[in-house]
Amino acid sequence: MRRSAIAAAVASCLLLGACMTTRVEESKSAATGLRDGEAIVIIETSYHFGNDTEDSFVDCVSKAVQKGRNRLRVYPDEAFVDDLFPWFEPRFMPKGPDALPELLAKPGVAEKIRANGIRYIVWLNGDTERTNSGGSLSCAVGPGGGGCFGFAWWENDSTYEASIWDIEDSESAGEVSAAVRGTSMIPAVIVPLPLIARTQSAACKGLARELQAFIAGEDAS
Amino acid sequence: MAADRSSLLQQVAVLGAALLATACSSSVVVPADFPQPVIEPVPLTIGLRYLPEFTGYEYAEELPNDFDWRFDIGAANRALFDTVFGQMFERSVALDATAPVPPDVDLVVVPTVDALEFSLPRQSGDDQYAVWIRYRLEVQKPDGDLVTEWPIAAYGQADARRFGRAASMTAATRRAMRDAAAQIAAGLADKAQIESILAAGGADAAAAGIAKVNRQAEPAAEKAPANDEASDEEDNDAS
Repeated sequence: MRRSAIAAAVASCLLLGACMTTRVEESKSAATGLRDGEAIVIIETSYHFGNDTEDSFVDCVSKAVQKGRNRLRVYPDEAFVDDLFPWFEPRFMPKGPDALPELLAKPGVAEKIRANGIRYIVWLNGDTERTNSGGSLSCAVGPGGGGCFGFAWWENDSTYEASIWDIEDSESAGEVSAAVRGTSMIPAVIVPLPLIARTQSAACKGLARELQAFIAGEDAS
Repeated sequence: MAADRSSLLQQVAVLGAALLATACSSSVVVPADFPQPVIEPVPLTIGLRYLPEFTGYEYAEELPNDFDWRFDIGAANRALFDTVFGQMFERSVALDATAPVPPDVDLVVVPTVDALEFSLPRQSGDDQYAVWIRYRLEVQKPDGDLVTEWPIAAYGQADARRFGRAASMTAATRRAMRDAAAQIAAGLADKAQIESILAAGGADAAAAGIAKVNRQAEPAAEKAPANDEASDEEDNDAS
């Protein structure tokens, strides 16, 4: 019975694509919601604090939260950082919501944020790492043709967290996280058949959906 | 006929060599546009003395078994300091290397680049192109007397997975230059300190105030150059 279940799982993976497990969580500490004309800005935590979130992931989440029923208005991150130069440069960006009152008291800062209707800052943290790999695959070409034989696989782990700061109340509204683990494989009998687990893309979609529900003040489930 | 063929072969060889050299080198030219800092201007007139080695700064490095890298940040250097100082002080005046200081100038700043270093993803093993630039600001009284020297260690990195090779290094260099500008702007944003000293005694006192801000500036922790190859270049000067 157990053997057939495993065989069925492997067969499903092969038929449907690579295997992934996704975990999305949220922790809310304040009521949320966006009024007409209000926007959020999504930026990555500084590399000075040891964070290496991919630029492509920030772009992906920014685009994804602007789609669907709970779509959010997003102010472009690069324009935000330029507007408030130098206070959101990697060296000087605030480390926690406790730093917001001091930042907003600096000449011109609160006015610029208010003028652009920005209500929440969403800080992204995390990255995608290859955690394991194995197998072997070899290809050869001869006068009569060519082909590949073997089996290669690798496992990717995409773990991201979004911290949401409410600028109006100068406090943290909570956190949303997405963790996706996936195994990609390439079985090859003459023709290689790549089955790729797009963990980063899955984490982006999961995090964006949860963020929309979180900020709109709805239950994501 | 034979001479024509020889000439044609020579031209082909020269063209091939040129193409090969281009294919094996990467050029970093930083766009000369930077944001204005959001700070209240200090009520002083500042003179910015631009030396030719600063506005024409170039750095080249040949890496074994890799591309040759060439950095051209001279125009961006000037744009960066024009933008930042233009906003930080009530008035700023650009001065050539030998131009006399106008009588209404309170202080003169002479920026220089001490060194530029970089590291590649294969050296650091973390998908990032990284650039370090060491600037030095010499703050002088209008008569040329040195008030203080302000060394600025700036750092920038860019994701190798998003851009191409040269574009990533350009983005990292631009971020390092912005980091330098941010340190200058944030260091001088403590206007209250400078103003109180100004009220007490004019430009001499303001210069002393800047020196004080300089001493108080506490640089944030940053990544060290990723490997020996990068740190070997510490003493590079403008080529």
